Amino acid sequence: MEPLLFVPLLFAASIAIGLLGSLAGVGGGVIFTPLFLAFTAADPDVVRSTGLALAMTTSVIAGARYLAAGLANFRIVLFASSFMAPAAIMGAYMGLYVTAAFPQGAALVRLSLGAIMFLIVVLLTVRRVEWPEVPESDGLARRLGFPSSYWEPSLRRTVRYNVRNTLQASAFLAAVGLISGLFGLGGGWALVPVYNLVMSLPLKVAVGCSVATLAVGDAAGLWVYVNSGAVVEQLIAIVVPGVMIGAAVGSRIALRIRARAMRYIVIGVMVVSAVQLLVRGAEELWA
Amino acid sequence: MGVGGLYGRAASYTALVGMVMLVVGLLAQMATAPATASCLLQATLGGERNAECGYGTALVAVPMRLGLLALASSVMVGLIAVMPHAVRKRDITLLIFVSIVLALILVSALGVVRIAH
Repeated sequence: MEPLLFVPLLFAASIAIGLLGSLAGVGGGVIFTPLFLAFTAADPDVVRSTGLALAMTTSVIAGARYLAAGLANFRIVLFASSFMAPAAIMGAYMGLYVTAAFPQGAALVRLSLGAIMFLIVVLLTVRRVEWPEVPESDGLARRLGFPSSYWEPSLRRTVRYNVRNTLQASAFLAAVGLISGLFGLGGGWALVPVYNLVMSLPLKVAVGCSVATLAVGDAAGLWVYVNSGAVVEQLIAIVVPGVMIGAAVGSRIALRIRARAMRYIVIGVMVVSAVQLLVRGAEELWA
Repeated sequence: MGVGGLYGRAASYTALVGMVMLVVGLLAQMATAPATASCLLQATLGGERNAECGYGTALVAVPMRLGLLALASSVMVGLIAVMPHAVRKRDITLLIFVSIVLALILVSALGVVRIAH
């Protein structure tokens, strides 16, 4: 196919992914990686590195807005990153090892990602708590200076919040980093529930912290792929701006359409991708 | 501006510069050597890795390489930007966490783990 046709087609597909992800409130990475691994013949390492670059770039840019508005707590982001980043590095090395060392490595990646996708769908349907009530922060959170406040326009007042289960959350954060590095997925689908339901951060702060944390974890994982030569700059140059444009358009029209319906469409796309990943992985494994 | 805002601004501007350079590189490749762009993308999506299609010219290679470097380094740039702030405020907790995270990404960026193998 001619590049003059091929590039705009890929760009248009990326815009659609960004639009869909934004309308459903999930990152583009969690749609891009499963779709490309399930329905194209692209090298799994290249797809995962592009997925990580996509998740990192969108998180860096969106995270800056959350941090500037005080909706992301920088201390919590750094604490979480110190668990997520090493796990993401380990995950990226594991992912590269599996595809290089085993003849059926790509099939194993597809099969396990298919299974993970079902977990993501479940987590996306978990109900979140807008303002969890925590009378007091735990000792570690107090020592690290986590309790803070933010301006809530809907209540027209400053909301103070406490943080609990800091130590327990670190295990979850490391697990999210490992999955993120291993499969090249953004981890917002897991980080928001960890921040909101385990550490009891208000939902808006949980979303802000999640976005800002993802950028750090994914940057650590991305470097492993860069060093192993699994990054195709041209693919990033097409996919990342496309998804970002789609997400920007999506955030503008999100208020005018039924968000719940879009969420079900995205969950449907994820389930179809998961089934295709499992079928294709099984076929390749037993071929 | 708070320390988080400072980090966010430095990191996001670096990422945006990297993104623009990558797009410039891609457009230059399509204008000067469309066959190499087509070869690379089709080979990549066809399942090949490290397809030897080349960049075409230095006009393409330089922005592509620098763009990827800027994009992948954006978080490190943000963390480095907040270090003087943490030192000035004598915020030891913040300084320790920034140093840990920066060291982790640097280890990954320099491929120290791979070299150790």
